[in-house]
Amino acid sequence: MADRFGLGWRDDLAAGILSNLHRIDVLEVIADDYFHASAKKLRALRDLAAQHPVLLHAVSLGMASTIAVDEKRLAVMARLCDAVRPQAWSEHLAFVRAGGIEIGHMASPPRNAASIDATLANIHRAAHAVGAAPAMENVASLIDPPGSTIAEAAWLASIASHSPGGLLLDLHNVYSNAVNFGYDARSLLETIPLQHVRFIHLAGGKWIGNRILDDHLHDVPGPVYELLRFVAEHAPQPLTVILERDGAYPPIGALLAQLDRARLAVAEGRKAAYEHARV
Amino acid sequence: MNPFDLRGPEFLVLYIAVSVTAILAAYLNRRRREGADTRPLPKLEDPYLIAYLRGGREGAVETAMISLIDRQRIVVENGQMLKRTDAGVHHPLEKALLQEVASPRQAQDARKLRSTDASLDGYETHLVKQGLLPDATQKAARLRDAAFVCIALSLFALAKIAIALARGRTNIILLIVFMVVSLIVAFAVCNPRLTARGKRTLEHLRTLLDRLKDRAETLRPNQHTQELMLLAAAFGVMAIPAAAMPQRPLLYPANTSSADGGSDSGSSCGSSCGGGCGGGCGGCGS
Repeated sequence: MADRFGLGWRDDLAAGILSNLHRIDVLEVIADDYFHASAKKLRALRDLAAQHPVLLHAVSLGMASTIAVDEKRLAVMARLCDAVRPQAWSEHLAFVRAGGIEIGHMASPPRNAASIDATLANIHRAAHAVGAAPAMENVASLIDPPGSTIAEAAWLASIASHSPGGLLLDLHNVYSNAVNFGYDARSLLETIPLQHVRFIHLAGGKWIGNRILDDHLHDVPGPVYELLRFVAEHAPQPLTVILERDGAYPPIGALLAQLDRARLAVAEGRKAAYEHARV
Repeated sequence: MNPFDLRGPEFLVLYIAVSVTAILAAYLNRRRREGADTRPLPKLEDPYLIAYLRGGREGAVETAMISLIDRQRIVVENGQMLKRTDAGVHHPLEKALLQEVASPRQAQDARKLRSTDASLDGYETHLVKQGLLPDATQKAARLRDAAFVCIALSLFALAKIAIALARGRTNIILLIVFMVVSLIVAFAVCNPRLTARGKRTLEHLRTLLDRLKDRAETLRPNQHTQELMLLAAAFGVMAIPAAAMPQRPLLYPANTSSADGGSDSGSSCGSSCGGGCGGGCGGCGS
């Protein structure tokens, strides 16, 4: 299987995506948008998945939590996967509710042994309920999660090593956290087991003072392509790279150009790995 | 009990019931026969292919006109369509349309533009191969069904008319009207332009593009996107609001659309049913 390059499906981008499917290897659809969708909308997604590789990406299960993931939500996810038959599904290493309160966004959990154990338990619950384990995505944060006793890299490495669905590595989140907390993004990538990376997210954000907000409303910055090149050089397995954009949509050509740049970065990384192997 | 001995109003009720049953049976038979194609729906990336699926040759021509205006290859000035430039125009259909407006044409003549370009024949062939338009075998089976239903309904009505006339009754007009309506509906139900798979493909595309239709008012021409073109392709030119393309009402005024019609069945339904068939037209796209 070769490396693949795709886009996050957004209804606002539908026209551009449908006119350029030959340049998009895979589509990633936000699962939550279809949890309570009409039969017609669900049928359209199922037909799309039969025509073109589709991945489902969930955002509200709250897997990285010491609270057990809600069985009812997992059942809805399972029904959706059963109806759509995606190639894979993914969720975030974040919590979205606690104490009965929905916090409305994805928050980084305290990085400690307890959250690793609880997250892995949730991943196994999800795998059992859905029939396939999710790939887990690292998240961005503007604050260092209180209660953390383990560095982000080590925390991610522990989960990635034991998660049956592998890692969805969001390189803009890596870049943002590196900037926000003052460490070298490459050192994080050198720490986590890149052989467990199955999917990669690319996105853009905005600077707020000397920090970066991962808002998905901007183009992918240059350093993120450098990180992609690095991952491609050090992860020999086929990678699926997804470009995410959640608003302020440019013409589809601009997104496809970013996808082409991602292709180039991966090709360069692969070439470098090949040359290392020859030496 | 001999149904031909029924009084006029009672026979009309019976005739309607028989007609509805026969037409429903023909519809279900066609769905069963054409529903055997379980291949995944095809990817239609070419907006002209989508437009052709929706509205045939006319749909494709209208979509090409929208695209040319969107890209300012054709401008509408003083009520006339004018070719501005053919730069970047490569599609044979677009070239043919530019040729047609090489000398200025009245904007309201947009519907009279008829591309004779042969590339559209390839679209028909492609859609037939994909099972979205009926092939020769399916057309023959449809005609057989339609002929069977129409002959049966005609004979049933004509027998009653003959008996009524023989008995000196002349109040047969309503039965004749019902018979004619039944025959038109039966023919339309048996012969929609699209196959069930074609209709599902169009529905699929329209569902995926729902958001595009919702934000049609915010679209603007010359944005270097295919959004206006795709909107016209999937939903018809009438889905393009004047705010998005002020020339559209001049070229395609409301209530004159023949390829949109709000029907999935496209131009053949529009032309066969006309403007007054109402519910009967709904069956065309089934």
